[in-house]
Amino acid sequence: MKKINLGRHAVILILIVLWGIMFALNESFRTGANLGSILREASSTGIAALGMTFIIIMGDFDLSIGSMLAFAGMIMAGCMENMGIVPALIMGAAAGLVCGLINGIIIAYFRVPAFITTLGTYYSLRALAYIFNDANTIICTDTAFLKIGTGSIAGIPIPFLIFLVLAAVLAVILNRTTYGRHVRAMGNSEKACRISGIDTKKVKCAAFVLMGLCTAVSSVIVTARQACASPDVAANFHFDAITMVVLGGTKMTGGEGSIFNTVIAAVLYASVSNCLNLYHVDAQWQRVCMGLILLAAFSFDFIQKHFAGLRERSQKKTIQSI
Amino acid sequence: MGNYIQIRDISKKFYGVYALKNVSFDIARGSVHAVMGENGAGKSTLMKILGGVYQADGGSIIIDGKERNIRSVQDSAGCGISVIYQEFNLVPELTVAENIFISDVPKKTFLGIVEKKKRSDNARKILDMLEIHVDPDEFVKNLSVSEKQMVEIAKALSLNAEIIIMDEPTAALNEEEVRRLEEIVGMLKKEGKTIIYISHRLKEVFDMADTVTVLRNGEYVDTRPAAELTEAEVIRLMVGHDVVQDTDRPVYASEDVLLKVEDLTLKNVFESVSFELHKGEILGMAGLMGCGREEVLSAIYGLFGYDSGKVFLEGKEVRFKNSGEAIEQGICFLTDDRKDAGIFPRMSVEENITIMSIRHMKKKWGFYISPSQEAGQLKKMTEFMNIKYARPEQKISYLSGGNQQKVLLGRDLLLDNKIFIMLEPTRGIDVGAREEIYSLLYQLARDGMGIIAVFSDMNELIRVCDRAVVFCDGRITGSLTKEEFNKEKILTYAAGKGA
Repeated sequence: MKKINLGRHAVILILIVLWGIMFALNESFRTGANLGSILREASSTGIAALGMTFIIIMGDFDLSIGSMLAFAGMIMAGCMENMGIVPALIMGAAAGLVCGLINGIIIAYFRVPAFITTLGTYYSLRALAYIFNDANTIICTDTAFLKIGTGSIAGIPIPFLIFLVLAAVLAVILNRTTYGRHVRAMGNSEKACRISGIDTKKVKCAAFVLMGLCTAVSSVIVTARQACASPDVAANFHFDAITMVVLGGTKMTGGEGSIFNTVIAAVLYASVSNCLNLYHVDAQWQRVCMGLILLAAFSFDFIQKHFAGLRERSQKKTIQSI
Repeated sequence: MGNYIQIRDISKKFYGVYALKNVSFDIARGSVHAVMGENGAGKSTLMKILGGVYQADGGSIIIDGKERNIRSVQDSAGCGISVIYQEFNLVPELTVAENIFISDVPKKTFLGIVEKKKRSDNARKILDMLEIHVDPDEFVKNLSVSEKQMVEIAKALSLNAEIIIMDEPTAALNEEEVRRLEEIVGMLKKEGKTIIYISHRLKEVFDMADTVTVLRNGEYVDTRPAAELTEAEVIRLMVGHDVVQDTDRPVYASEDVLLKVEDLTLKNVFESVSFELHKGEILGMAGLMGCGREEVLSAIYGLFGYDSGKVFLEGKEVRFKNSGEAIEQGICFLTDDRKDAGIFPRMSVEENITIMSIRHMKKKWGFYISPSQEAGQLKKMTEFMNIKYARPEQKISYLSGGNQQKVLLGRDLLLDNKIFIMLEPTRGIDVGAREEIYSLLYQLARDGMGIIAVFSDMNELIRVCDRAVVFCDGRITGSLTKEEFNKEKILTYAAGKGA
């Protein structure tokens, strides 16, 4: 008996319904420019949400990514003036990698809870971003660089292409490599991992490094779209990313999750924000709305679990009766 | 006086299995009454029923002539019962005094604030009376295990209960402290309190108890005055009849030594542990709860360290810093805590069985785990062990205990192993699957694997193993060959006698 798993596909259904309604009702929504801007918006946070999916599946989370994004952006923009685009991108990636490594080492090897560690780096990295250029914004003028944020290939925005490629790569890593299995196993039972000979510290540390790299890629897109790096960018970035992951059905308790659903959730999140803009909803009310979506996403997890529980019970019964 | 406490036809079932079956006996007022039995005899279950932690499925408890309906811990305290449990019930973040008076806060001032000083003074009085040298204002987390145990005793006494139940209070105590506990018990008896005392240690029981009741497999065996009993008789009552061995099975053990352990020591956990494991041998490890055998095996496997001693694998000295190194050398380990440290509950049956073997699997492009290869591994183990599941992608938590255990065994068997360490391989498994696991062990031994198996159930140990070493208090107190196997001997060694 094959049943459609509603819980699993809820995000994509909601997205289809929302787009269907908006296509029918709103002319400005269905313009190519508007759809492109939704995808660009979805990509800049969505890429970090991919890394966050790994972290949350492992049973942790990272609050520092907004500050990390600002810091990596400042480094990158700063290097671009003197060194050119390629070294600047490398420096930006290196900044993300090092920040992630610091988080990872403190959490995995010094056993400081992720909440405390990333709260600490959340403050320090933000401050470093301000210190880097005396709290001033750095303007980027390199047209090739700006293309990364604003260009399109065959009508598809470049950030979204990057997002899709990264999502495909990370989905393969999560589902079909030893490392991905270990990440999921960690979210299931760290004790069992230790007995199975999995180097839990290395796995944990590597996930935070991956998070740092994803943040650096997000930083490239955000900086390129705004044509500048400013130290106060992406203030609620970590919450947006966590909301996307949870909206995508990844369990806060760890152990289960899907990269594909995170991609859909990122597009959904950006679409909602876009709709609110189109109807000129006041900025403060938009925040109220986003807050409610966050709450809904979290309770969604529990509602789903409730239904999953009912399903499991009936499934268990049938199995035991075999 | 006679029948102060009357236990009548008490029964308790867990998951359809009797933990206690129609147990009845009497306890006299002002006596020290020992309750004895093997692991799983039902002693602790009975005490938890008296303490209100479990509710009996049937039967009645009469105290002081009145039938009592004990439904909760509060009810139990209301009947004047105070229980000192095997596991600690202290709050580590509170002080000794706060713990002692946790349910019985002394008088408060008019603002409802606890008079801290008074509480500390009261605690000190109790501690002094018991000659426990602990500062009442010290945090419990800073105490040693034996100090915690003494505080637990002080807490029970502060309630001024008439009936005091002690569930293996000496497991964590040293000899000096045991002696002091014996004095305390004597003092309480003089005050007219009734004490129900549970212990595996025969010596203490004979030193203190007036009466001994023996339980076996959840059933009442006998109650006799301690003075009329000898230690050998108590052991015989606890053990019952002898078990049959699987004598038709050939022994595959060879002369080749696979693993040799010499003087392995971890301070306060185990000491000077030495043994050998041969190729094709099933070596049993016996002992009572907390005897240290699981710790020794975990240390060999690299889950935690040891202070001194040597481990030789096929003649080469090894020391594993983590389990990964042990696995590389062909040692594998089956946990006794399947639910929390064995399965990955939200992963599929297939992913659970291949979690260790994927590391060595040949991968496409160097990283990609091929689905067909993975499915092949599951299929191989499914056929080998007759694992039952609906689909490979089904979550493992939906399987029965026996099938989950087979998946865990398969996880290790997919690697190329020489030594298999198993803690309680048949725990929480129904009878049919149990037999299958026995024959699996024989098959592995025939193929030359060395197996170390920990069994709490002596019947299983005697049936399955070729040889056994017995632990008591972190030391090996005896070693038995298959011909020498009998429950009395094992129990004697396990109680620390005769070594």
